[in-house]
Amino acid sequence: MLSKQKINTLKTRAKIISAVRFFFESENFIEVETPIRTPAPLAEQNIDALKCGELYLATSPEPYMKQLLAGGLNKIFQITKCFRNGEIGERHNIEFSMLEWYRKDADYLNLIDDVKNLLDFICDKVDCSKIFSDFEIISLDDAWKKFTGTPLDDIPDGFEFDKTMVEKIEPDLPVNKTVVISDFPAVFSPMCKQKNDNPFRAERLEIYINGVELANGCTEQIDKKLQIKRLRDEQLERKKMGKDVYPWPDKFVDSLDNMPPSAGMALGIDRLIMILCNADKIEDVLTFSEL
Amino acid sequence: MYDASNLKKGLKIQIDNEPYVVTGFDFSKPGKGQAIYKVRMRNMLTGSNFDKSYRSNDKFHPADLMSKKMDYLYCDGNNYCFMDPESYENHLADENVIADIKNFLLENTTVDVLFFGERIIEVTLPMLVKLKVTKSDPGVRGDTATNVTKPATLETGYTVQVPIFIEEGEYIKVDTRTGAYVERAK
Repeated sequence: MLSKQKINTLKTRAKIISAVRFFFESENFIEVETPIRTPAPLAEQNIDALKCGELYLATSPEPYMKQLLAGGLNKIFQITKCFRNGEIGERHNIEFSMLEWYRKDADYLNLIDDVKNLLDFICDKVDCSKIFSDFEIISLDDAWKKFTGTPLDDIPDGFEFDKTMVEKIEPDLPVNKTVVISDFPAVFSPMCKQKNDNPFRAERLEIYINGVELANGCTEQIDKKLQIKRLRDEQLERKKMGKDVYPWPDKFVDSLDNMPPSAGMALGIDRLIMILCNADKIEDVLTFSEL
Repeated sequence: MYDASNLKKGLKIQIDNEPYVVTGFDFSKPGKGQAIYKVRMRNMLTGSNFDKSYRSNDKFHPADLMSKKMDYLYCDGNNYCFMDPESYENHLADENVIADIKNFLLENTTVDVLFFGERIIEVTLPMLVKLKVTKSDPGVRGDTATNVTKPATLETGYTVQVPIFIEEGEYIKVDTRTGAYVERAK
């Protein structure tokens, strides 16, 4: 038998997912479906795809959703399962639910309004006191200086950067509000457009609620040459790390010829439900967990 | 060899030639970033706790530990001598390894000895040990309050509170974790 608490959580989960769909439909987004099995996940050095026969399980719907944008759809969203090998912990499950949406002719700052409106909309439908319509936007450079005491002049290596994010910045972020950290280092943002006034920073942001990373979005990289270079760099990096190097994503790369200026956001649905249900562990809000 | 991603609570690993036991383990990973394994460990030599973050491909040797039943023979002042009852080999342990159990350790007692390489790093007694009361004045029954106790000195030199009916020359059982009197022993 399921516990009473689990039944309540599953009811809330269903309500939240239904509210998300309702919100995007009311904003005239089209819900799309993209393949779960893919021959060519996008090469990102820190995201590992699971093999599935000759193919891979999608780590994100990004390459397919961008092909749809290039193909002429203007506002699209979906809630889909993604799979990331080795990611298992209190806030991670190898198989998880991702909400992604993309807007044509938008940049990363437009996404903040989407998140704000989405959270407000969900709060109307679901009894919640844990989602905060009070937003604070802080650039990564300012956050870094504030929480570490030193400016982010020289970007440390990936591990040191991530360690600082996880150990020094995330735990000290203000609580009881939604925090947006913007302008991440371009070097760690291979799919994002660089800032016009600073090529070392990308038009990328992350959304945090009570120190939990909820969503990641950016103004998309639509320069085909630059995107090819970044994907090659990531592939090389994977090779150096002894990781699986995926086949080249031909169709995605070809579609960049027609890719309009756009912005897209990926939001962890399970994390959102964790926050709303006041759960400490992701397994508490999953219908079935691996643990 | 273990990868950081294989670590879990209770696992014993070796870092810079010292043994550590994993007491806490936490996985975190920024969406686009690297996996970070935050590991809490206790140094099995010093007892001090230690937190460190590792990458998934960081490697660890299992600690070179071995546990053996041995007989405690004698103390020569600073060193405590234990004998392997099968090979008759003798091994010495520093006083600081024995410090916590010194009050309950009698010659010819069989104990669990934990070796790190050739070195004894932990000696564990049974939970209850039987010790003789070598000195205890007769109890004075003042009023009729219950649970009246008196001090008693045991054959190891340790002094413990016992019920007033315990007399010199009797044996009692002592809890080696707390040092408290448990019951009269036959």
